Amino acid sequence: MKFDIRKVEPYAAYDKVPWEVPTRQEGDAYSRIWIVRDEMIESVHMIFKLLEAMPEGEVYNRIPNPFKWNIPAGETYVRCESSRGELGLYLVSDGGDKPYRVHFRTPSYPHGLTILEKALEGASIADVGNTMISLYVVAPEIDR
Amino acid sequence: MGKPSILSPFKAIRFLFKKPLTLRYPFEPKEPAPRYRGFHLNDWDKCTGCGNCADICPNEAITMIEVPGIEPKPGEKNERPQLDYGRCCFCGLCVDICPPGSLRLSRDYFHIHFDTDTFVFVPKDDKKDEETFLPPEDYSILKASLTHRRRDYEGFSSDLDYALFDPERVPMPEVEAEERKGSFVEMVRGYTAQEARAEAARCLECELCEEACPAHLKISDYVKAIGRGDDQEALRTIFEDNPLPAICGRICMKHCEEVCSLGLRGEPVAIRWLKRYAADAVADYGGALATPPGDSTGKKVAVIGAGASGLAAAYYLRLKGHAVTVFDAMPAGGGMLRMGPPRYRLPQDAIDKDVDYIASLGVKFRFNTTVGEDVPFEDLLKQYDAVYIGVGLQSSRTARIDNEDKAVMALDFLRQARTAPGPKVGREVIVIGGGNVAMDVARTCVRLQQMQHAKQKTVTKTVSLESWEEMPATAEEIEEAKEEGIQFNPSWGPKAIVVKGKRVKGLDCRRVKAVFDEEGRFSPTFYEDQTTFLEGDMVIEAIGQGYDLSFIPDKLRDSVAFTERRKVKVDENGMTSIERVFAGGDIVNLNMDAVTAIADARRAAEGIDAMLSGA
Repeated sequence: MKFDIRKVEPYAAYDKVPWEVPTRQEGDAYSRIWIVRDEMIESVHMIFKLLEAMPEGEVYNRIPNPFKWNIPAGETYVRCESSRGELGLYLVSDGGDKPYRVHFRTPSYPHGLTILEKALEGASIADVGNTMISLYVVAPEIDR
Repeated sequence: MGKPSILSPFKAIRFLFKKPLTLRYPFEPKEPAPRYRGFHLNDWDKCTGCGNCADICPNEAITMIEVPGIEPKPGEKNERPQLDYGRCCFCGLCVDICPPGSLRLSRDYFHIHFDTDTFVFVPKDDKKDEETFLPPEDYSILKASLTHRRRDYEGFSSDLDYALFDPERVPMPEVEAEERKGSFVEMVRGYTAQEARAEAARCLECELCEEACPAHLKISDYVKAIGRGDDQEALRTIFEDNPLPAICGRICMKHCEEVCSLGLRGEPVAIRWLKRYAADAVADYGGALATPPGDSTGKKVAVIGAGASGLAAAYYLRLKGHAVTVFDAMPAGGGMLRMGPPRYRLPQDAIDKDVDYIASLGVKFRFNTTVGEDVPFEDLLKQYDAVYIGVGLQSSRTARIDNEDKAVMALDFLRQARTAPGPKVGREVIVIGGGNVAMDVARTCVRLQQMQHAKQKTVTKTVSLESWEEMPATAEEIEEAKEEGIQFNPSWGPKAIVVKGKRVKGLDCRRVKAVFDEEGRFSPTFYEDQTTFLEGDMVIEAIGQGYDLSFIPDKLRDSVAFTERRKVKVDENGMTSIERVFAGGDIVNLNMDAVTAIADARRAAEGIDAMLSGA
């Protein structure tokens, strides 16, 4: 399925450099691993294109004074594409300089619990490890 | 993999002759990358103990501990950071925010010990701790630990490019030299609300400024309030320690900005301009402050002198509920603040705003009343429960040169210059003196010359005993005076005013050998054979002021104690050696500026209140 947050809601310079979302037609673990490799190669191509097209200017962007950086009160959910899937940040602020509530929505949580359950129907016990790795589930990320 | 055969194990022999890829640690130590983040190094000479590293650490790994062996300079603390390496995550935020740039990270990262207490460590660097930081020939990777480190200068050190503080100040709009020297328009224009908020956002809240301020204003609190946009709260915080914000916001000597952390590698936070912004932004002090005077105690206090210290003493005593009467020989309040700083530095409406607010609290003013002539001093002692003397330094010092009667004294000159049209000035004026008052006089002369002798060639010169390095005027005053075209003649001592008939022709000067003697006392010596003649048709002396305590009757004056520097001696409550008589301001302290006078007045007000409520 062709779904990549860098295409759906582009951030940084992802909409300025031409690239494609790699997909594979077979639905098994082997093709998932090949997709990871394809994404790596696509990233390297993107880096070369970006190096050519990089504009001149300051390298460091000055951030506000950390002791006085107050986020306006409210809540927000932002997301980006991590190597495993959609990484989202849910933030609630009360207007002070420290956040009130923070929660990271990690890709390993739905991949590892719900998708894994569906994918393992009819598989043998020896396949569990392989399927989990191919879905790129990382246990510490589930626990976030 | 190749086909399996009986000979395949022997194919591996070729690796005997190849260079191994593994690093034979520890015999071949791995060089960490440049700017690798390891254990801390701290330059104790540069470190000011501000504590910003401790404030920003996300793991609270840094604690500031007091080191008794360090003698802090004013504005620094004798604390130094202590690191807990069990908590440190080596993020480097402490290095990014360190304002003096003393904290760095080295490239060492080994420490193996069974005792966890050794992981808590006070970082120094090789300047202070030669046993820990060894030169490369003595360092051994096998013994590497927190107490066996190498001298490493390529670790992560702070750099202004990505420092977390902003080293540049929001520039203050000022009137250009060519335009301002033609009139008495106020030179500094003041911040807008947006500029003030941006400037207040630079503050790191380390509070070194609060200790350096003579009145100990809560600077980081009011700067924070301005940053939030809450100007009234800022004004309330200022008024707790300083009832003259519009005046001090223009002329304060800014001891705070001298020690601001950001000033170590950038420009200090513009604390004085932010105080001026808070005073100007709130149009009506009474509405914002809502400080009702306390319940009436039935006690009466007399304050002699309506200058900075007298006004502050009256304010604090009135808030405590006493009935205060302020006596002053001038027709309006302000004292030396009214007579001294010229209108381009301190316009009249700023003085009026502060004085009128204090009067609105119920303080009674008796102007045009000279204590000693119109009211005898003993009457004050009889009719009032306490007396506060804040008369300041009224009389000008003289240079004791020939024909001195033809010279004008600075205090008289400046007092006349406060009201338009001002005194008459010649076309070539010579000002004797090198301090801030001399700069005020000279810059006032330039303006009056432009107004009175427009389109003619005019010049103002200063002559001072001090050389460029010794000149006591502040650097910005000298700079602004130079911009306005004033000529300086440092290291010349005036000898005599040359007079022809009734007109002044100029000033004879001789070269100064030294101003201070070996003990640092003022004792100028000259080369009598090196002389010069400065042309001028007017001479103004601005070399210092002294106090005039003649209003105190003789028998009481004998019992007034003086310090070795010939100032009035007061105890820790501000009381002089005469019972029920307190003093403060220029006659007591050595700083001789407005904010120290206010601090003295506050101390004396607390002392008077304690005495009146206890007695």
